[in-house]
Amino acid sequence: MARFFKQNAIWLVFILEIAIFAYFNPRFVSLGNIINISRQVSYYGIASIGMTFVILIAGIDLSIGSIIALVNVVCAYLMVNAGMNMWLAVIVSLIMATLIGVLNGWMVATIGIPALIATFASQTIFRGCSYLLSGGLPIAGFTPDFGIFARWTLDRWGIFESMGFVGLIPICAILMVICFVIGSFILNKSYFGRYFYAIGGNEEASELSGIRVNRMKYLIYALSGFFAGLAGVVLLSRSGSAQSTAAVGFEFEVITCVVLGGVSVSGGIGRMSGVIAGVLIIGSLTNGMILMDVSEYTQMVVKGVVLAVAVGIDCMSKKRQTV
Amino acid sequence: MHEIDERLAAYYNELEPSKRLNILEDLRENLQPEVYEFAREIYSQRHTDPKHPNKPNIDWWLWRCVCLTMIFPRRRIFKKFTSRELNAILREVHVEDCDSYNDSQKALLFHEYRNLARRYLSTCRADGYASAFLGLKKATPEEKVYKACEEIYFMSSGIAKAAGFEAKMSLWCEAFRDELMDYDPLCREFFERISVKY
Repeated sequence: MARFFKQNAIWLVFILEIAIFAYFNPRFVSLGNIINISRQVSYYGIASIGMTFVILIAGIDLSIGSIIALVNVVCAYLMVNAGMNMWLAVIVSLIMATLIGVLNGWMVATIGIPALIATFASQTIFRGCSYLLSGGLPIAGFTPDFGIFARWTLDRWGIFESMGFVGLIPICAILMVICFVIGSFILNKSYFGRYFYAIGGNEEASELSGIRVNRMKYLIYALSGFFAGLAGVVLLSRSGSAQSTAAVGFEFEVITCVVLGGVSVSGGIGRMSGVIAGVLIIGSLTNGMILMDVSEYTQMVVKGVVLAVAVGIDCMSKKRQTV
Repeated sequence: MHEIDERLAAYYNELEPSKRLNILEDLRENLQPEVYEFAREIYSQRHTDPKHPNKPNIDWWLWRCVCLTMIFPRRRIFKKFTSRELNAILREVHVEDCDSYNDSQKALLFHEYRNLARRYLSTCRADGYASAFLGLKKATPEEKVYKACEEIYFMSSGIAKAAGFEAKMSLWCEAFRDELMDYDPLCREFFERISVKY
């Protein structure tokens, strides 16, 4: 029984959180709000998959917020200013995001720059690029079909417009679930997942075993870039306009989701199911605080405290072992 | 117990695969043919990826040890999956065939296991090993030893106990435990503590 509670503590926290918010505001558990949460968490969820891979190898990717901003601007620019087909613009943007991930991988694996510094540099570079491309102005006016990923409206009867939904389920939430299934498959059923855990657990032993560690790092950062790009496309679809200021501080929220989900910042430990719970907890926390009229500044404080507590618990559990 | 030809000591003390192979080839003329052949066979199997036989610089058994450290924590969640993989690993590292070997072959296998454990433990002194917080906080020597003990426990006594394979894996566990006890004076205390914990 104790083991059950220990293994599923994160889900119990999630249930407790729902109960608390539902008690203070019954609208929290209404169908409309649940759908809203699923849309809100979708891009966090998608980006957190790549971040999970990176943290599993004891790395970090601080550039994902900037990748999202650049994908926003590039995708919108291609559709609006270059008149490119929507799907082609999405593909080009995703390739660009993946290549930024490869660049991060190159800096970390080949040059040997610590991941924190390398991806912080990328963060600054690509945020700057998005400002340069957009001139600091929002880009809007792209095809309404682009709202397919996330936009929702109510018709005059107060019923969901069908765009961006399959029945009552938002397409972006379906996309997130598909990404989580793929992420879980990679981690639990493929050899790549094994390599990720192995590199995070003992990089030297992995290298001696024959794993091409540097190549794996390239792959992992590329995947992180790809998933960040996909999250960027979903965000662009949802917001309806591209802004260079999009997703500022987004990486810290994603890191909070991942660490809260039990992925150790020391690498080698963590499960995708925990990350799903982490994403839902942060998504519900944000939504619940908005419903309770908590100011944005207080929300930042709360999320910062959650990140500190999650990392603190991880560090304390490691420290306690040898005492 | 597990005594081998003294001339093979250098072979089992060396950790670098290519150097080990050279030592073994140099000893060929001086060893009994069955001893040489068994040691050579074990060496080949250890350094060959069964799916990609031509892949260079492989320590397949070391990789399987790494896999064991990952199987142990999830032994209760994916029971069927882990037991199938554990059986496959035990077949590959000759634990399954142990009973059919004579004493001389068992001794060679025992020393190969110790060499394997020593190679694994040699990685546990690396700078980044057991570091915390994205590699920014380096581990203390004590933390490194603790983690090494935990991993050796996972890949030997721990997984054997969890799967009920104590008898079958006795040679494997004994080799890993012996090697660990030679690794650091703290290992005995940590190993006992870890045994109780899991």
